[in-house]
Amino acid sequence: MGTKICPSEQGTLQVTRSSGACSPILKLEGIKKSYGQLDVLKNVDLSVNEGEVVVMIGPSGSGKSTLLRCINLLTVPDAGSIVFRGKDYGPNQIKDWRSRRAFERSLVQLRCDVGMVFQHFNLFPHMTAGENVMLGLTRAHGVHAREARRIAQEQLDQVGVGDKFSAYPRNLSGGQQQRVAIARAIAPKPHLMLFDEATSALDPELVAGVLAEMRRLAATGMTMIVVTHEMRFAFEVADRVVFMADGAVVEQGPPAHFKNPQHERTRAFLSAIGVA
Amino acid sequence: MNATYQFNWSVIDAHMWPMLVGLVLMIRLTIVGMVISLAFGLILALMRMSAARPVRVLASGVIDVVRSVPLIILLFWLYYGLAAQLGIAMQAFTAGAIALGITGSAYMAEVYRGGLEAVESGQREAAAAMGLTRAVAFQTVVLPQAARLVVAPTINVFVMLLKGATIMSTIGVADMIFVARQVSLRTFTPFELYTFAGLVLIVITLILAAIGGVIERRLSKGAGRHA
Repeated sequence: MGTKICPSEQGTLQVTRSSGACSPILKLEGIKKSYGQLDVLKNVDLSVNEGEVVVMIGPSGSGKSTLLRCINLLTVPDAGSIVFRGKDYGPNQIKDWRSRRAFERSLVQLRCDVGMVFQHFNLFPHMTAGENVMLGLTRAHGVHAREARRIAQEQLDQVGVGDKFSAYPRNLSGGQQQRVAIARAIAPKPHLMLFDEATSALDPELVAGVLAEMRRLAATGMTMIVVTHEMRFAFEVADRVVFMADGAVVEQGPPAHFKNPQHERTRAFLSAIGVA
Repeated sequence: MNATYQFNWSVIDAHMWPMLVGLVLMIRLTIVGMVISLAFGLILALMRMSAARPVRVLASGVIDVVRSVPLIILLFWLYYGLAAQLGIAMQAFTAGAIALGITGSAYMAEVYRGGLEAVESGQREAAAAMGLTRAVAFQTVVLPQAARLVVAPTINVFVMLLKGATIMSTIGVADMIFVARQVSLRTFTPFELYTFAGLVLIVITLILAAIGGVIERRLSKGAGRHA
């Protein structure tokens, strides 16, 4: 893996850690989502190159998490296209019940290739840490149980909770639970990882450990989209920072770009949180 | 007038065997009704939670209607009504089991729904996000968590059906209550026989509650442990 310079959407150049081509692994176009009268996402475009770490920042309610959830279709957008590794998973694929069934089948494919870590961990409480990691491997990826156990142990070791294989989530701290959740998400070796405010529910002293795991993962060249309020982490780890407000991408660029943001809204946000 | 009732508990000893045979029939009837309830209750619950509004409305209507019809009326419709109107004659045991099954299904549907809806939405999302199909997510993630929550109310439904089975004697099912009535007509000892039947039902209910507690503890692995 080496660094690589790729043209960004806005015509500027950006450095990525990709060893592959600059073609986007993910391309979102015209993503719209409304809940009743409330427009949560207003025609959002975003593309992510392979190996790139994109960090999304912005005020609460700006649509960051909704956009992230649209990528693996936990939230189905009202309009727009979601092209992941060359295949469109957008809602325009659904025309009738037959295409809906095909769409749902393709969703399983997409989700097998996109890992996600949630704010509240969402570990399965009736399964041990090891079983949590094994479940996706055996039931979604068809890995044999013995091999799944080996992979699960390996992944738990990597995130520093290898000794917790047989522990139930309730017996783990928040930080340990989130590490297990990371192990669960990366075990099937996805091409893209989504982090939805992965440290927001943690006690302050546990945040650093989880951020360290995310840093380690970023350093391996994993393509990542991270929604976070941890600004230091965002500017340190990101190849590109995307600032969202009011359901739209206001500004994006490499972290250095945000030392002198172009939009008033971005300046106001960064100033309010004491970054600029 | 100073009429005092003379208890004659020896009548129970004398008729213990037919009473127990009647009890076994009653338990068989309840078990068959419960099996129907467990299966059809789940189908009704899934329909009640369906994304399709007409299916939801239909299931909701069926549940509400069935729950509002007294068991004895349902029993009479099935046993006498179907035979008189449609020529569908069935044995008393069959009619009783179906009546219990229909009533139990409506109650079990709500029990299942309560359990399934109590599983946090984040659990379904995590299962979906890892690429599990809906069926696999239901089987491996949702159902095991819901199962723990439905054990106690399921025992309640079973007890309700067991008590409901006591009216089956009205259509001629030779259960424990039927035997008690027949014997008391000859021996004039209704208090003794019905009290015995009541005590037997209390013991069965307590045993069921204890079994439910054991199942609940077994299913709550992980969820009930503290750090």
